[in-house]
Amino acid sequence: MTKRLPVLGQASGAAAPKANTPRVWRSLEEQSDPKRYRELAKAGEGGVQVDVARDPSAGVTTPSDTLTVTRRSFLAVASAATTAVAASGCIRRPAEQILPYTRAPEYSLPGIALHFATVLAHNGDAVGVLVEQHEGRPTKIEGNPQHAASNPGRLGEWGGTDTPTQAAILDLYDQDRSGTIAHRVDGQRDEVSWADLDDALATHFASLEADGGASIHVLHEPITSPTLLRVKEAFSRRFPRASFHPWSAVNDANVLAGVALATGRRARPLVDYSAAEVILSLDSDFLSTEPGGVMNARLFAAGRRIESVRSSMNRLYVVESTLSLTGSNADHRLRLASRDVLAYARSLAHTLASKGASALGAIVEGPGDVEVPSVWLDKVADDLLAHRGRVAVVAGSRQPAAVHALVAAINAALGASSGLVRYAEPLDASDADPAASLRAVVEQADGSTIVVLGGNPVYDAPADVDVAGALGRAALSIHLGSHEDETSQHASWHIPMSHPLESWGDQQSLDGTIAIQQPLIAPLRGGRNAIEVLGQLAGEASWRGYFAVRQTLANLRGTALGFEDAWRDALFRGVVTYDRPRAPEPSVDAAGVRRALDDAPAVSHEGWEVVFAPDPKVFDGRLANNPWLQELPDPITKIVWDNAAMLSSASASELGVTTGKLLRITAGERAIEIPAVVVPGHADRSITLNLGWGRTHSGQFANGRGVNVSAIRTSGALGFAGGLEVSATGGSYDLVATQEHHSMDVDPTIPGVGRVDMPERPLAIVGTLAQYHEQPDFAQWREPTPNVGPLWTDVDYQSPQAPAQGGTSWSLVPHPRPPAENAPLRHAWGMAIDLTTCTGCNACIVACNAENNVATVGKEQVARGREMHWLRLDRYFVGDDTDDPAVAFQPVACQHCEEAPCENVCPVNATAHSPEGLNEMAYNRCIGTRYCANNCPYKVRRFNYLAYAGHPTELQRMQFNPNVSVRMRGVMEKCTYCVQRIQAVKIHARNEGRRPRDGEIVPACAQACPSQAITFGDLNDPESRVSLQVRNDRQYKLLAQVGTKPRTTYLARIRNLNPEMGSTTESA
Amino acid sequence: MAFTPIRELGETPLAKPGTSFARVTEVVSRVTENPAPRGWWILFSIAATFTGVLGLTLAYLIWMGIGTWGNNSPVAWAWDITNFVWWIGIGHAGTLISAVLYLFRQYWRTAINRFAEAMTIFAVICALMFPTIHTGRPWHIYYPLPIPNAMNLWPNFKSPLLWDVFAVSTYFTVSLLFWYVGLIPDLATLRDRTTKRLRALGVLSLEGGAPRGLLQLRAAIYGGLALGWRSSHRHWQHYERAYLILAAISTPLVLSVHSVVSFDFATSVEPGWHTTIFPPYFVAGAVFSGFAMVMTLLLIARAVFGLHELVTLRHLDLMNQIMLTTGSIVGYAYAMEFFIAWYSGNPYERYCFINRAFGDYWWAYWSMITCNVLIPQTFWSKSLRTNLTWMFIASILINIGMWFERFVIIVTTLHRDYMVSAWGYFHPSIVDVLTYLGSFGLFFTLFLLFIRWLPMIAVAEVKMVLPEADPHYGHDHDEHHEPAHAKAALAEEA
Repeated sequence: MTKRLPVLGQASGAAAPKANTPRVWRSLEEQSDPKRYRELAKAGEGGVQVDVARDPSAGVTTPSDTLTVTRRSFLAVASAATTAVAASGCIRRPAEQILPYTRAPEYSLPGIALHFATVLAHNGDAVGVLVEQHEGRPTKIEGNPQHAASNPGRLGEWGGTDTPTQAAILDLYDQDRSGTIAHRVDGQRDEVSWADLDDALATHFASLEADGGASIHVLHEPITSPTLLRVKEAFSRRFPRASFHPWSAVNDANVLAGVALATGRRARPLVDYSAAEVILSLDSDFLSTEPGGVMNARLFAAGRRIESVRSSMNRLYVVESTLSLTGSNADHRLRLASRDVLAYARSLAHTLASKGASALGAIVEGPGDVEVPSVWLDKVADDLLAHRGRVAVVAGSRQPAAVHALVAAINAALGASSGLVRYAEPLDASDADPAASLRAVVEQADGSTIVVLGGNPVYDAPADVDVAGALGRAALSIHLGSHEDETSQHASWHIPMSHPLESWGDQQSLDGTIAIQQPLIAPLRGGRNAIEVLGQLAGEASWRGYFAVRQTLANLRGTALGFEDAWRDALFRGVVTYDRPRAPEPSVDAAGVRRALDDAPAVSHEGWEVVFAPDPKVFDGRLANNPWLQELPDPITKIVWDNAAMLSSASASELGVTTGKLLRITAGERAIEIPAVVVPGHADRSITLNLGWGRTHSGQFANGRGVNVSAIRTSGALGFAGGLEVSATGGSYDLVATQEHHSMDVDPTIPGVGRVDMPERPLAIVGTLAQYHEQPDFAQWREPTPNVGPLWTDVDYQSPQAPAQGGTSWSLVPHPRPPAENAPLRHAWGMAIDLTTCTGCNACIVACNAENNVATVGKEQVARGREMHWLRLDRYFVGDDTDDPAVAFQPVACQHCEEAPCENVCPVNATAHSPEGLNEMAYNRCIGTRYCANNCPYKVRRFNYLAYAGHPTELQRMQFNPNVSVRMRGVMEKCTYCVQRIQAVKIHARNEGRRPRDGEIVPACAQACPSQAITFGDLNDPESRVSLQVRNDRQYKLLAQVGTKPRTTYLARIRNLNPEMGSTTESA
Repeated sequence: MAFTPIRELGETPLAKPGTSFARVTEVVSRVTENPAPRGWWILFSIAATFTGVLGLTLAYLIWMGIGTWGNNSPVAWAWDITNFVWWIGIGHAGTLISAVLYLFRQYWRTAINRFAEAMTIFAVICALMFPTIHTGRPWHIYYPLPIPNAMNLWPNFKSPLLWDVFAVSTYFTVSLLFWYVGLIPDLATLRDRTTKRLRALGVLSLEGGAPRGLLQLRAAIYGGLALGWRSSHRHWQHYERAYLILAAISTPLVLSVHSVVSFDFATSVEPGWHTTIFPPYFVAGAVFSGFAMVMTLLLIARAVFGLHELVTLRHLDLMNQIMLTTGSIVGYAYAMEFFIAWYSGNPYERYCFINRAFGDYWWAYWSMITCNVLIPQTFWSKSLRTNLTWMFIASILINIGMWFERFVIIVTTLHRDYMVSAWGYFHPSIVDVLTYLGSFGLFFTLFLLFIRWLPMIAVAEVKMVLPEADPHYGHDHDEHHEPAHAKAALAEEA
């Protein structure tokens, strides 16, 4: 044994520290913050040592050995300490250990990001992604252009994503994710090791083999992973009598059931929105919360993009209760309670039948029992019939099966089924109804074994299904979950689930595309995924994710020939190539649809209707502990950090409430209290409640935020319910929104002033297709650029670039140097945003957060107007009718003005113009006068009023993009056009001896945009896409009359109105 | 018969008749020599307490960040810059009274100029504090100074904030010099009085002791500050010349400082800020508020220290007339802003002004109109102009109104400008309030120290307007020339 210096911390030896022994610490880090140190050690953080002194294998350390201070050792320590003090000067720095790359991983160059293809499942669908990784840390998620769910039909050079996908990277570094296995017996929580867990489960499940596992209930989320499906089969082989129950609070069981009734096959309609000329959505938010949102948005935008007056454009009719994202993109929108949609569909089918779609005549005999404006039957039917074969009707998954059956029949009758509407069968053919499954588990819970594979049923189950009680009655219950959540509190075992970026798997998208989910990082907090846990329970030791997925791929190909190549190809491209079975053309069985209509359950038309909608941000609550999403403004209400009951102004006045007043919604003996928010365009006597809030055991960002509306959701009415009682409690609640609720046309807040008229403020310019055809450049005339010369000499962005001024000059007059002879031509970066294709989905904001290390500030700071989003999505209501407004979205980030008002006023030159026309911020130079923010007409500058970046934990720091400074308090920040991406591409191109290609530089917002509304590029290149957009006749500059000459160009939003529908929603 | 003090044409005397040189010296000097009255101590302890609050507030502010104030996006400037402009405005009366009135030979200024100049210095100190602490990183406050540096970085000479730095620091320097130069003869007077007492003490008690030591210190300080002033003719000649030159330098500063401050707003693109009327309007407003503040302080000091002989009702009347004039200019500017907003046809500008008067901040706007436009109009009435109670109330109301003017300009413009989506509202925080109150503490602490230790009235200058300063004093020369009716009037007054 080597002789050691006595080191603090080893004094305790093998004995447990007594109450009065001094605190034992292993490093200065631990001494200063023992809690964090333990977290790091638990997370396997590099540089954090395990306890050597207590490790028996590290040699025996006797107390006498360490406590004896000899003269020599004393002198040694004393001299070392003196040297250390002298060397460190006056500043005491904590000891930090670094581990050099003695053997660097292949391909990894420090400072160069790597990208890996993988896939993220969400909402029954899966989006293929490319994940950016810096020195082993995944930092940013982008769409995979090869993957059909991200880039259908190869419509773009890069793939789109949605908000959950963008936010998933932060979930990886969630401090509140569970990292320990919790064993609960009689309310007593113990932490056990993986080995203990494995032993316990092996013993328990072996005992269940005798009766074929009859008492086993596996509660799982709808399966989209082929490997998990294989595991399920293996499990069934071991336990033939075990039952599987799919449950998800948001599911498309109604769609599958409805299509099954109509065609005999459980399938989902897949609509090629790019080919549809007329689209009718019946309560379907297909652009956002329905499965396939990214794919749908991209296809929809493709059918809507206007390059010139010769372009055609689809027309979208939406019939819905709540103003959804899809509804706000509608050309014509009918607000109708969800419970009346079936009747409307029936009436429409009847009208269609009477106008020539004879196939429908056999299904519906008379109109439905609902009153709608006659144009919404006659003219819509005319329009649909006029575009036969090029129309699509879609229904929302909250609508009952009958609506889906009828919609299938209408689509068939209108000839849409020829390729425009396809039917895709789900991976898991099991036809269990989610609510019924859940009830079955509860009924048979006594003495059973319940395995909850992901999901959080205790939180999100309907109020009439007591999952918590069932877990309590079970002999053994296992919950696999990312957090020790509401369900874990009642399960006897909680197993931490690894993040999709940490584990092997595979996912099949709606359209059948299969992609491999490959990990980018070892599990930060330990954990296994569903494949591994179920595989282990199936008794097969080989269920390691990696091998299981390889086997799945081998099975898919049917042959192992060239398997390694196929495997590498699948990993590299992020998409598995395989022979997909061709789905048979469905034929609609009129009798089946008719039966479906007859059997449709009646919804009470008495009282109030309540619609349960997945939240556009936190979905069903699984994303709730993500501060980016919490602070993301709701697309319509712009509320942050809360949910609220959305209702129309007529409903609000009937109840005597305004926004922020508490409502009491009673369903039988159950009731919730929730603040109201008045939303223009909501159906009357209907209230929309967003799921996913009011979490109690999620994490620091989710707990206690909002109201859990599942408390009044029943298993018979997951989508919407009628006959509820609603009343005002008289109380109120502070809702925080980032925009005043009635911005633009309806502004009642100014006494004696009245409205702020849209025509007076051409910000988001909206026009009709007819207007556009009449005068294609109408937008420029709404917002002309003043014809006055600039105050300062215009910068010539065309001529070669002068070299940077070298050396030190104390002269106030700059010395211009002539450009070198071979100086490269300059770039002039610019951006174009097409308001016609922008759907307002918020993906750009989250992408910007992730890329630029944008801080979240919390509800209280947002209430003070201090949110830090570099990019905001302005939402304007347009039109005279406050109950039926059109909506215009406008993403607004820094406009990078040529004549930037912010630059002139900065006393210290902290914000200045780059030779390529970027308006740049030098954080180090900024003293924080905030004058630039005042003088910015667009109000896009964000000030660090407090230390919002704060002192991030080690885990949070891992998410940061190393190419973007984290801003300290007291400095201004704003959009940079992702200058770090511009520079990265420029360096890369320069190394290859060329100029950056058009489309090679993509800012994070443009990259994420599912509808490709944002274009970026070099305005000096007349052929670049952004130049084409800037020359588009719809172009205008925001607030051009101020004379700022923005580099960002907007393209006016065009609405394709049906002239026969009347002019109620037409606007200037 | 008594000799009459100097008068301007057809006006009443500038000092109470019968006031002698010795009396002037005595009245002013004794304040600095006698122990401070109890009232001074009470006021001083209150002021010092508020200064302490300011210190704590600033420490908290600098430790935590600007977020401790209510400022937000879009209202990035609020009380901070409101207070800055307000204090700078108050600092205008001093230079106006000292320099402009001096050049125009307005002798009535002599009774109040020292007072007003000191007020200027302290107000500018308070004003300078705000732009310093309102920055997000005040430890980098030297960045705007054009210091040659290795990074080859210069401040941005296009920025009105940089012009502010130069304008305000120049103003402060010149005001300080002007004040100090004016103080020199009076400091010499104090020195001489101290040495006289010291000599008297030396005769009476040879053993020295504490009072002797203090007096020696006092003599040394005043002596040092007096720069060897011996009141020789040569001294006086140089002094008068220097004073005149400084007055000539200061005069354009009266116009420039607040013009430059107004450029902060006028050169921006914000509706409600971007107007050419701002420079004259701001200068008038500054003089307006400066006089109001001088009035408030003077009325208190006059009562507390019994300066009725030197600060007569006529002085106050004249000051009220200036307030009436500048108040009317300000009122005209308010009206003209509205007219131009309507006449320009610019919807953003038009909305901005309608919003000022009828929007969320209507109360601030109408407080401003009431205090700044309506209140000074009462000074058309001679009886109100000479009513001490009313002029005291009016001067305070005008200062409140002028604070609201800056608040209205800054906050109502910012809270609703171009982008409807970015509109917001401003709520002050407790730190905002304490910082503002604390700046009063600082101001009054400095002011009370000034009153206690320096001659608060320009002794030498007041003497110039006394009859003894008349070259013909004692010769009874102009008895023959004095019209009979004037004599009668003077006799009555005497």
